[in-house]
This record gives sequence, C-alpha cells and structure tokens, in this order.
Amino acid sequence: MRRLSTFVAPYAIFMVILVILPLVIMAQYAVFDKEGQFTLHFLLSFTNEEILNTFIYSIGVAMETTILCILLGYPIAYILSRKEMGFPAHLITFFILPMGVNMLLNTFALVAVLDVLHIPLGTTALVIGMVYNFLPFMVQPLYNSLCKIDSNLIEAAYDLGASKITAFFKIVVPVSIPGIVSGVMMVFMPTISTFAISELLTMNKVKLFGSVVQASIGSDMLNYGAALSIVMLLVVVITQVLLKDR
Amino acid sequence: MGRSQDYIIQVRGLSKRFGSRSVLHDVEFGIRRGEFVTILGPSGSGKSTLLRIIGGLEKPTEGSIIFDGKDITSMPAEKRPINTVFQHYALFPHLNVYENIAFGLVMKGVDKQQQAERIAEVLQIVGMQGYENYDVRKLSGGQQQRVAIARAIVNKPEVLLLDESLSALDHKLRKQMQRELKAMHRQLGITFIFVTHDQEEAISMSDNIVVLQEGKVQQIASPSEIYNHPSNLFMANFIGENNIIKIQVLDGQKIFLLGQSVEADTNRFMAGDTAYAVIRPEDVLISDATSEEFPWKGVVCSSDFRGVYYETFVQTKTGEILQIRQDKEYETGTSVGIGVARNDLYLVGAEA
Amino acid sequence: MKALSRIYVVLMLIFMYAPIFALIVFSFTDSPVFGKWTGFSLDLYRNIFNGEVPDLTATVWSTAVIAICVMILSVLLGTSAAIGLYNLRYPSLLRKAISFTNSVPLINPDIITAISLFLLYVFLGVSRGMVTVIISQTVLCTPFVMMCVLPMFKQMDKDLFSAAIDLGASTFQAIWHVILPQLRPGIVSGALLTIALSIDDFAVTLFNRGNDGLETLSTYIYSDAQRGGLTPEIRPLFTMIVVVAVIALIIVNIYSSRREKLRKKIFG
Repeated sequence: MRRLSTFVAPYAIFMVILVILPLVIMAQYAVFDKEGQFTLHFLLSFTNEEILNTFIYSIGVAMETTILCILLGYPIAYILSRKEMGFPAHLITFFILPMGVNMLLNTFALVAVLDVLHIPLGTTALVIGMVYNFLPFMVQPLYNSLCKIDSNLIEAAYDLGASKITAFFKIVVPVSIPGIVSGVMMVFMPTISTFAISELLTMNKVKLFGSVVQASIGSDMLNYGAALSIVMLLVVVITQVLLKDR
Repeated sequence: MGRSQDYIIQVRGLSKRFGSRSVLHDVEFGIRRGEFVTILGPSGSGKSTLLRIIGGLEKPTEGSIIFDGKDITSMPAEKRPINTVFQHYALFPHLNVYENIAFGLVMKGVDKQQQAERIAEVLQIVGMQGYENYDVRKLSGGQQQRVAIARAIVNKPEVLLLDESLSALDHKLRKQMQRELKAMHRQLGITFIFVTHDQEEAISMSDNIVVLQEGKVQQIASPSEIYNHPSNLFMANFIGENNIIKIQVLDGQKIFLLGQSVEADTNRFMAGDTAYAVIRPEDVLISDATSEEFPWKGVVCSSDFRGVYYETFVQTKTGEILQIRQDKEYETGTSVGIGVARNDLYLVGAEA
Repeated sequence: MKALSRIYVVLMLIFMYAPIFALIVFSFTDSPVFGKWTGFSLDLYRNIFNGEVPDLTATVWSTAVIAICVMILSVLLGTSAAIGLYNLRYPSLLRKAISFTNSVPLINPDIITAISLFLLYVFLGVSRGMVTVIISQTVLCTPFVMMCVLPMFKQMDKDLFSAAIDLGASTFQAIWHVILPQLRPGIVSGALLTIALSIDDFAVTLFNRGNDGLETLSTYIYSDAQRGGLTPEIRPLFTMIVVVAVIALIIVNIYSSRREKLRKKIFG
C-alpha cells in the first residue's frame, strides 16, 4: 500500500547522515591534508615500504586463514549436512555458537589455552587464532548451502557409475560454490581489517593493516588514517565485485 | 442513467494509471441500491483495480466515486461503509475465527456483548456455527471463504465487494457458493459488487453486468441483454459461444454474408461498413435439402453427441466453419444447407 | 568412512570448545593464574556482583545498557524501514538506493564504519561518549534487523493490510494488530542478533567512545590484555555469556522448529 512507503523515511534519513555522509567525509580527509591542500595521500602510502609490507602481510594472513577455514570447515559442513552420517541435526548449532560469544573473549580463552600448552604467541598463534575465531563464519554458509543439495542428485551420480570421490568433486562441490563464496566473503575481509585479535594473539609483535590504521587515527594523523581506510575500502570493494560475478 | 437517488454508487470518468501504464480508462457507470452487480472481464482488464478503488484501497488518477450523492473519492477505506472479501480471503493467521470476524467491530469499539450477538448471527448466515475457536489456517478453502464473508458482513456494510472470491474453489463448491451468495444477497438486502472473469458465473448471479476489457467499459447490461445483444466484437467473442463472421454492410437492410446477399437489420450501420454477424450455435438451421430457407451450402466436418444436442461443425463453400447445435445426427462429409432466421442474425461492429 | 568422519567432527568440536571449556572450568576456582587449580570456589562470581572489581562491574553494566538501547533503536528503525521498503512501488530507484545503502555497513569492515563515524562526529563537533556508541552500533545493526524482517513479508498474504483497513482500522491500528504479529519472528531474531552484535562489537566502540573512560566488554578485555594481566573475573563473566548464548540459541531453535512443525501440518 502506498501509504506505508513513508515508513522508510526515518531510516533513509538516518542512513544519509550516518552512512553516506561519513564515507564522503572520510574520502575528503583522504584526499586533502591538514592544511587543506589537495593531495593523494593514499598513493603516497603505497610508497612507504613498511606500510606496503604490512599490507601484503595482512593479505597473506587473510588468505592463509581463509584457505585453512575452507579445508577444515568444509568437511564439518559436509558431514553434518548428510543425514546418513548419523549426527543429530542440531549439532551444527554448536559449531555456530562461538559466533554469539564475543570474539575478544574467544581469543582471550584461546590465548590462555595456548599459554598452558606452551605454544608461544607469534605468527603461528596468529593464524591459529584467526582460524579459531572465523571457522564458524565459514561453516555456517557452507552448511546452509550443502543442506540444499538434494540427496537424489548424489544418488543419481552413483547410479550413473560415479565413484564416491568423483561424485563429491563433480557434483557436491560445484553446487556448494555459492556457500563457499559466502564463507570466503565472511572470513577474508574481516581478517584483513581486524586488529585487536591480532594484537592479542601476538603480543603486539605482529601488526596487521588494521592496527596501522587504528594507530594513525589514534595519534591524530586523521588524514593519513582516512587515506589508509580508503585503501582498505577499495580492496574490499574490488574483492566484492570479483566475487559477486560468480 | 436514471435519477441519482436510485444509485448508491456512481463511478464517473474513472481512470487509473501506474506510471505510463493505463489500467482503467474513463470508466463510467452506476450501481443501484440492493443490486447484485458483476464486474466481468478477462485477466488484466482492470476489474480488480476498479474494485479496489471503489473500496478505497487505491486512489484513481482521474475521476470520482459518488456514494449516495456524496463524493467519496478521497475518503480513506477505513471510513467507507463498504467491506471487501478478498481473493485469497486475507484472514488474519494469528487470530481464530471469532477474533477474525470480531476485528471490524473491535476497531469500531462495539461492546463485547453486542459483538457476541452479531458474530453469532453472521456465523449462522454463513453456516459456520461452532467454529469460533478454530485456527483459520486449518480451515478448508470453502470454510475460509465463509469466514471471510462473515468478517465483512458483520460490520453491516451498505455495499459488499467480492474480489474473484470463488476463483480458488473447485467446480462443485463454486456452484454451491454461487447459490449461497445469491441467497445471502436476498437475505441481507445490501448491494453486492462481484468481480470475476467467469462469464457463466456473471450471467447466472447478476442483476447487472459491467464488462471491462483493457481498462475500458465494453458493455453495461443485464445478463440476458449481454447474452442476446453483445455490444461489440469483443463482447461477442467473450460471452457465450457464437459464430462470428465478418460481413459487409450493403444498401437497404442487406448484408453480404458467406458469399450471399441476405436481409438483416443494418440500422446501426452504414453501407460499406465492416461488421460482424453474430449467430448463436443453436440458431443456425441445418437441413439435407437445399431450399430458399437455406441459402448457404456446406459440408459436415464433425458431429458429436453432447446429451442435449449434437455439436456439429460445418464448413461452408466460402471456407468458414460454423458451430451448430441441433438434434439430428449427421455423418461427416454430408452436404447440407445452412440458414438462419433474420431475427437471429445479429450485427456488431468492432467497437461498441 | 563413517568412523573417520565421526572422529573428525569430534576432533573439531574439541578444537573449538577446549578453550571455552577450559575457561568455564577455571571460572570455578579463584586462582589468579589461569591454569592453576586452587580448589573449587565461587569467589570470582561473587566478586563480579559485589563490586570487588568495580571496573568490570561498570563495564558489564555499560555493555548491557548499550546493547539494550541499540536493540530498541535498531528494531524500531529496521522494522519501520522494512515495512516501508516492502511497500515501495517497484522497480523504484529509491528502493534500489535504500537496499544498496543498507548493505554498505554489512559489507564494510567494521573498522571502516567505525572510523567514518568518528570522522563524522569530529566534523559535526559532537563529543563522543555512550550516545555516539549507541548511535554507531545502531548503524551497524539495523541492516541485520532488515535482513531478518524483510523475508517475513514473503509468507504474508499481500492483502492483510488492505483487509485490516477495509474493516475500519487506521494505518497504525492495522500495523499494530495485523502486520507486526506476522513480522514477530523476524523482529525477535533481529533483536537477538542485534544484542549479540552489540556485545561483540569492538571497533565501533573503540573509536567512538570518547575519553571519559567508557568501557564495554570488548574494550575492557582489550585494554586488560594490553596491560599484560588478564583479570581472573573475566572467566565467570565469560561463562555467563556462554550460558546466555546457549540458552538463547536453544530458545530460537525450539521456536523455529515448532513453527516448522506447524507449517508442515498445515501445508503438508
């Protein structure tokens, strides 16, 4: 009904002020420096070797984490989605539960355990911690996607002479690709932009891109921080666009 | 149109456009108090939109709705003394039967005692006594429809709108509901406006029919008038089963039909006009012999027994295929003579 | 094959829950060092509630207040927007614009949202504190509410609102009595999701809380960890949060499976 469409107005105004405007301001900060001169900071930022290294390192960690999450998470999602495996249907809830607990608390718990196991904090711990935190985010969309696969499809494949392995790779995996894409989006990007978790996991020794951005904002180098944020945003947008086409 | 006081609703110059798409164009008609009026038309004819505008759920782009002499075009639906029975009933799933029916009364602030009385009354009218506490989602289609009707009429509206309400029912139930609706109409004495695409339904139930096609009124008439005298080519095609043959109007009450010049009532036309002859299957005369009564010659294509008549198809020498209903069996391939009485030769133009 | 998969699943469960489990176990001992069991004790639990660790108590209080405020705001904004969006004539440009803008906070890393809002407050000269945190978290959470509420319209008879109006209800009465009951499951899951997101939020809070010492759970842990020590009272707090999360999940599960059963009964 026409008259109900006005109900969208409060949120629309809200979004203009609190979503669009901030991004515009941020872009403005990024291209102007403190004195109001038009510069292209973010191009400069790439010439800074330290920043560049951090950036590349962050992407590397993100990719490692994502791949590990896929390798570890896919079997979980697959096994739990197949009713014939005999697991109770609600077991998946337990793999998703950690999402409802604060990530920092999760990390905190993990750090404590790592400490007890005498595993030193550092780059290994970082990856373990990332995977630990983000695995549920990979498992959930994978599970949802795999659940939708009609078991008749797989049986049809067997019927036509496919071995279990062939059936898996030629039928199950391709159909679950939307789930994989979803999972990747939910793991890869947050991993690049997270900073607190990495600091906790490595005792501040290893810095990810997010930390650099945070530091620059904290030390009043607003413009610089804004520029770096725009860089991050561009990476995210590009990733989105690349993945959306699939 | 007659005296304005006769009409409870008048639709004047009504047009409705969605963006550039015209759904209703210059619709004009009147509905008398207590009438059972059907708005009839194929899908996409705009009939549901028209109903919604009358009910106040849509606003027209142009034109007005006059209710009892007052212009109610800008009056919102909740204030109109009109209630609607929707196509899929729109029963409130979270309320039971009683609460659904009570909804309108609750909105008006009717006291609980009165509510109970009126609800009991309508439950009886629709034949759903005892169903007060039922979950509406668990009812059958026919039962849901009755609850929907009850929910509407308990508010004692002056006009009841029904939007293709019977479409979702199976054939037998539909016929039954048609009878019940007519009975309710007589019992309640209020004006019913019924929307359907089923012309049989319209003809059997209505006092008056408004036919719409592509947003334009094609004809407004009683069922027998529409059946016997369709106003244009569309109507002839739409109502009943007719033989429609293109003809040419000649001078002096004559037309050129199926290769012959015959007499017909050409008063509405001028010589040289293109028009169409509309002949009902039961009005075509057929015989083995050839005589003056049967000026056209043809060959029988098929003849099938239908219980009451034989559905016979004959191809004339000019190539037309005529549908004939008569009571003699003919073998395929028989040569026959075809004729039609002058009174049964009805002419229509492309437009009304 | 089955045995292998069972072992795998169990192993992964252990991986995921060992830290959680360990923390829960050690919440029942008052040892200041994690890992050393010094006998069963509920001291740490008591400490949270009797003000022994005032910072932590204040933090918990702030986190709760913020979460509830954000939940109320997001639900109001998101539900109202969902109702409006559903009724916009399609394919409206406005509709697409709103959908797109709505997805921006979802796609953006939270640090970007956090910084952009920070810059906004600086630009507007608004001082940062609890209010800005609440507003900022609402920006993040409302899209989730929309995502939960919008699908509920699909299962609704499209004439329900019209029917209510036709029967004499005003716009607000129709929404209150007819539309909202239909949207309720979506609103509930949106609300729960918002609370979870609010408690979990770190970046947005960190940047927009100002300098008055406002701490939420995440910032508290963060600064706690930076200082090197990890307050033992966090263990019982963690346990309680896990318990609440489990209960919430169970409730949601029971609720949704009940609705599934009802739907199967009706539609077969």
